[in-house]
Amino acid sequence: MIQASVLPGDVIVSNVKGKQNPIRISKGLQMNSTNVITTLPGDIEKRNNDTILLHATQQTYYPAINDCIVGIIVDRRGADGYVVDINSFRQAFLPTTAFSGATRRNQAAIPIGTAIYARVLQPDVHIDPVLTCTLKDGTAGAFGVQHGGAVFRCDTAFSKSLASPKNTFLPEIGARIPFEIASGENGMVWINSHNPRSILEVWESISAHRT
Amino acid sequence: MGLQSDNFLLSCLKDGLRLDRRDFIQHRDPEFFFSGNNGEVEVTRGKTRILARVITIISSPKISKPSDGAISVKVHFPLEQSHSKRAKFFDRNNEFTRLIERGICDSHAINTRALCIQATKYVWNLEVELTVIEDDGGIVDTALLAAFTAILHYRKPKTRIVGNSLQTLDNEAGVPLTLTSVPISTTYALFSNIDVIVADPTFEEEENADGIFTVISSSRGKICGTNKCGGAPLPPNRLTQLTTSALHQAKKLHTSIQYQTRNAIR
Repeated sequence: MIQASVLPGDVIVSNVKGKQNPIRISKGLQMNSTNVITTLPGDIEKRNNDTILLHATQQTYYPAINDCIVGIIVDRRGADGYVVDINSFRQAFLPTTAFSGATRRNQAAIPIGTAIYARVLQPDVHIDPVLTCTLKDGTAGAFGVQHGGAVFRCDTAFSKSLASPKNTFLPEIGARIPFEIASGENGMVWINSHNPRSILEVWESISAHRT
Repeated sequence: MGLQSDNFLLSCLKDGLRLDRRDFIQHRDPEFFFSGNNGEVEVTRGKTRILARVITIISSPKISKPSDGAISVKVHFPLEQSHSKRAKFFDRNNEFTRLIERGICDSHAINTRALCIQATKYVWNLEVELTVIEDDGGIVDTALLAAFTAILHYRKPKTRIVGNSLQTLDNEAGVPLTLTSVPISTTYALFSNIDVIVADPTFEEEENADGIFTVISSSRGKICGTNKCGGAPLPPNRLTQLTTSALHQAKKLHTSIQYQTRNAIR
C-alpha cells in the first residue's frame, strides 16, 4: 500500500529507539541513531509495522545488492570482463566468468551492444558495481544474454512494477501481440517480438500504463 | 544506447517508422512557458526542455567599439548525462554551444548599436543564459528558439543621464530590444546507409545518425549559417530541398514566437 510521496531528507520515523521491533528499511532509506530519513525521491510503503519500502521514481538507478537489472554491454575491459551500461551514474563491470558454466578457459564472447539480464553482486559507491548472470547456487536461472530485441528506458519505479507479479496488463498485451520482456529495477526494459514494428507497438501499449 | 538498439532504430527507419511515430519530415511543435519574469521563458519540444533568461548589465564599452554594446551567451548542460561517454558528450556539447553562439551573436540579429547609452561611457551588456533541463535532441533548435523568445520578451529599463551619473528608471515601462531579424535553426539527421533524412531528430536519432545538418535561417527568408557534422554525403538537390523546407519551417516558427511573446506581454 503506497502511503505518501517523499523527497530526499524527509523524516519517515522520528523515534527509532522507542520501537519494540527493529525496523527494516529498503534502498533509498537511511537509519541513524534516532530517525529514518529518505535519500531518494519516491513513494513510501509501510508493511507490518516494521518494514518500510521506498519505491524510487527517478531516471538514474542506484545499485543495491541482489537487484535484477537489464544492461547493455558497452565495451570489453581487458580479458576478464565487460563494461555494462546500467542506467546508473557509473558503468558496471560484468566478469566473463560470471555466467553459468563459464570458467577462465571456457567463456562465451558477447558482442558489444548486446542486452543482458543480470543481478547486482557488489554495489559499491567508490568502484564500479559488479554484476553476475548466475543465481547464488551458480545456475543461470532467468539471467543471461538477451538476443535481438530492443532496450527502452523509463523511470525505475515503472520498470520495477513491470517485473512485479501483480502486474495485469502484460498478459493482455501478450494475447494481442506475442512478445518477450525482461525488466529490472534500473529503468531499462528489454522487449523482443517478431519484427521491429510490433516491438514498438508493445512498448507503446506498455508505456500507456505509466501513471 | 547500445548496438542492439541502434540496429532496432535503423531497422525501424528502414520500415518508414520513427520511434515516436512522427513522419520523417515532421517537426515537434514547441511549447512556451513564460514564468512572468522579464525575459525568462522555458521552451519544450518533445522531451527537450530549455530555460532561457536574458539579463542586461550596464558597463563601459570596448575601446575599439565605443558605441557598441556586447552580447554574451552561456549554455549550461545537465550534469546527469555525463555519467557515461563523458568525453563524447563534452565534444558534442561544445559544438552545440558554439553553434548557439554563432546563431545569437554572429548572425547580427541584435543591433549592438542600439545597446549604447552614451558613447565611450555606458553601454548595455546583454547576457543570454540558457539552461538545458532535459536533452532529447534538437538542442540547437530549441536553444535558439528559447533565446530569441526571451530576447523578444525582454524589456530593457529606461535610463537617464543626470550630470555625470546614470540613473535607471525602474518604475517606468521598459523598451524592447531592437532585432533586425530572428534566426531560427532547423536540424536534420542524415542516415546515409539507408538513405533516410529525418527532421528534428531525437537524442537517439542524433546519436546514431551518420551526419547532422543544421540550417540557421532568418525570419526574412535568408540563410544565416549552416553546419554539417559527420561524414554523410549530401547531394546538391537534397541540400536545396532541405534548405527550402528549413526556410518554410523558420517562417512558421517566427509567427508562433511573435504570437506567443505578444500574448505573454499582454
